[in-house]
Amino acid sequence: MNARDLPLFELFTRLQEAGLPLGLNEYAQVIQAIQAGFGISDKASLARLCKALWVKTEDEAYVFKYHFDKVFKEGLSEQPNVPLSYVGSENPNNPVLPNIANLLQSIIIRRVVIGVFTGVVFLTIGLAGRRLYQLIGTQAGVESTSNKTDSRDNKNAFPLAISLGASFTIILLGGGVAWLLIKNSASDEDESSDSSATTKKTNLSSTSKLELTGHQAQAKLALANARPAVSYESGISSISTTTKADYFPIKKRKLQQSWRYLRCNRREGPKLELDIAGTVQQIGRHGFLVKPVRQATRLNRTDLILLLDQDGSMVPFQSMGRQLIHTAARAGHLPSSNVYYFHNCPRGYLYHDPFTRQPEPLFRFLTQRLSPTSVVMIFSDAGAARRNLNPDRVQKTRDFLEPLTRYARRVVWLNPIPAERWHSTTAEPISKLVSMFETKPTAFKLAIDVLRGQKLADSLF
Amino acid sequence: MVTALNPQLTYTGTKQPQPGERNPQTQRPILPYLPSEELVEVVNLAVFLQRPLLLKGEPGCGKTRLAEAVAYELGLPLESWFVKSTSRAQDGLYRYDTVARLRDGQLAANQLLKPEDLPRISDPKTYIKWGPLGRAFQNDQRTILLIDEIDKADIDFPNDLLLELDESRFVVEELEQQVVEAKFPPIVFITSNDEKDLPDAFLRRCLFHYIAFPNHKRLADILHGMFPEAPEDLANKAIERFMILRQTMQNSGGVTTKKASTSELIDWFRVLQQYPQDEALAKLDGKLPFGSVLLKSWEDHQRYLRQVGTN
Repeated sequence: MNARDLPLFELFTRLQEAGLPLGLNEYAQVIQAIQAGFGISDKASLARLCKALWVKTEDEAYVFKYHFDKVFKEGLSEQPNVPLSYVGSENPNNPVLPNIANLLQSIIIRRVVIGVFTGVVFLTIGLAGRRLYQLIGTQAGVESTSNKTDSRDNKNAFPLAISLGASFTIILLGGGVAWLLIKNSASDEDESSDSSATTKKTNLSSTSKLELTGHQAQAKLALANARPAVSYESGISSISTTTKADYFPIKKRKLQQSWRYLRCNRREGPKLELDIAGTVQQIGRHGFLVKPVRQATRLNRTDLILLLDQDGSMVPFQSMGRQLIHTAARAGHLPSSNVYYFHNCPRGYLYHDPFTRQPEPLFRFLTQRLSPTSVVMIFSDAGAARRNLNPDRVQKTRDFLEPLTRYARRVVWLNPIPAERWHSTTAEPISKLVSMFETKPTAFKLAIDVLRGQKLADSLF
Repeated sequence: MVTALNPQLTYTGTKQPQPGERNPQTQRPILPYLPSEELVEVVNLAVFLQRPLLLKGEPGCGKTRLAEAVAYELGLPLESWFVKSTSRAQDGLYRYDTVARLRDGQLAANQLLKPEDLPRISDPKTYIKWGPLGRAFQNDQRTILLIDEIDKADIDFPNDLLLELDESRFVVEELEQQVVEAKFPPIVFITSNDEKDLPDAFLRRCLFHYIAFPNHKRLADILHGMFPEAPEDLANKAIERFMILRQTMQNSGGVTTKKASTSELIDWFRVLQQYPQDEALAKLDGKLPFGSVLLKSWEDHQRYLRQVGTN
């Protein structure tokens, strides 16, 4: 048996698609470990083995559990189909496309087969009904002669044209019903997996909870934006737990990776490190060693401040906002005191909490909180979600941005609404006041570049 | 079960130190460690695949102590590297003592050195101070290496260790590019308190295990292991009380609060044990005795006081 025929390979590819950072080496190691006798006693030990090698965070553990149960519940015989064709695809670097095609294919086939089956059932019922009708007709004919001619007429008129037409309609109808049934069952499956996932997550960190609960709003929005990739994926139930993250325009992992670039290393604090170059220079000057020259340690001194627009049109993006905060904090950038909230546009105050209960005067924020090392990221739709142009809001935003850009080192604006929808909304004039980026992986990377001080060709700053 | 393993390098978690046994080097007492079956399995997997084992879990659940326990059972030397916020990857390999080199250079230039010292100072090895990783690589025995609280260091720290952990070798530039290759790849345990995310490239090379909080039975075993003479009903009562407190902390504080963990339970029980059994049992029935051992934040304390007030 080929190593890739194992149901494990199905699990492996599923996890890869779910975004776990796995290479073939990881797969080979599981095989190696199995050969050495690990994880062969029962299903649970196999799960533990795969988990130890493939799962690297607690959040991933839930994704793993979902897929493991799925793969090993469905029985082993039908497993290799999907991964095999996936492996055989010519484009191993882009596994998503062939695999989506596979999924689509299997879904279509499933639906057609069940549709035809249901159609046949309906047809049989129809034919049986007709037979019954005939029987009743003949019996009735025995009893009353006046109805006899009618029933004979019916018998003659029924056969070919109508019965063909009826059976065709019945097949279509059956197909339709079956399709609806499958659709429902798929969404049921989705929901049940949701609820089971949620119940299992007693210890889950808050963000991953958000990922699961907040996805509905994100999904709706993604669908409303009519982005083919996202709306398409939402129709596929089989990878549901993991595609929830896809409703975030940027995946968590991508955010984490991008934040990593945001750093501003400078030597600060007590002089602890020996400055070898400085010492050698000093010896050169004096001809002997007076004392070693020391220098401060190089540390990452990025002072990132996040300003988040709350409520109103930003409600669908709250999870995304929290994800931003969470990932930035875990990249070591963001003490919680560096997150501020506002509604639409900061006027007079910024708030330390999303419920706008702890205000901080804007003036104090600008003059005392901000320092020349501060970099500010604003997360707001800038009025693009309302799809109108509000000159008043533009003016107010300008009044806020002008001092902000003076006091902070750099300012970027992250807009969750796609750029093509900024046109002729409030966002358009605002995007000319500040470097505004869409919430997309590439754009987010550019935003980080701006915060790092790298100039962009098309940027105003 | 597992067949292809070297029996000498198989951790079982069953060999426990005798009461009062001390580490011959550090003279610190060796305490029993009772790992879960899953943990034992993943340790053996890490030893077999020669991959670092990344351990996460609540503070006080025994992440750091595992390395010690494995070293004790397998009879292997242990090198611990306690990472600090200013630690650099290089520190774990070696440090070149430039200051000493400069000082000796100056002394030699002024003819203040004894002639017998000259060969010593002309040997660059004199100034190399090996770090824990460097020592582990050069040990004639397989070594257990503990990298403790890796998330405290800079975000690039783990990435800077990739080559060293992957290929078990590094280059000493000061010794004319001498390559130090591990005689035996060390068994590496890495702990993280999850304050920062670790880079993917690093995670890929590790095995990961989350040390879950032990259940009642295992807690009882742990307490019994630590305090063999302690009466069983006192231990059970203490654990019950402790579990209720933990549950309350979880319910009111959510996932963010630091919950009392195994190490706090052990400390708490140690205090309780100082009292005669009846007195200790009576204390457990009343308001939480020695709460300061278990409640680590002012908020927890306030919450506790409020609850006592309402009951």
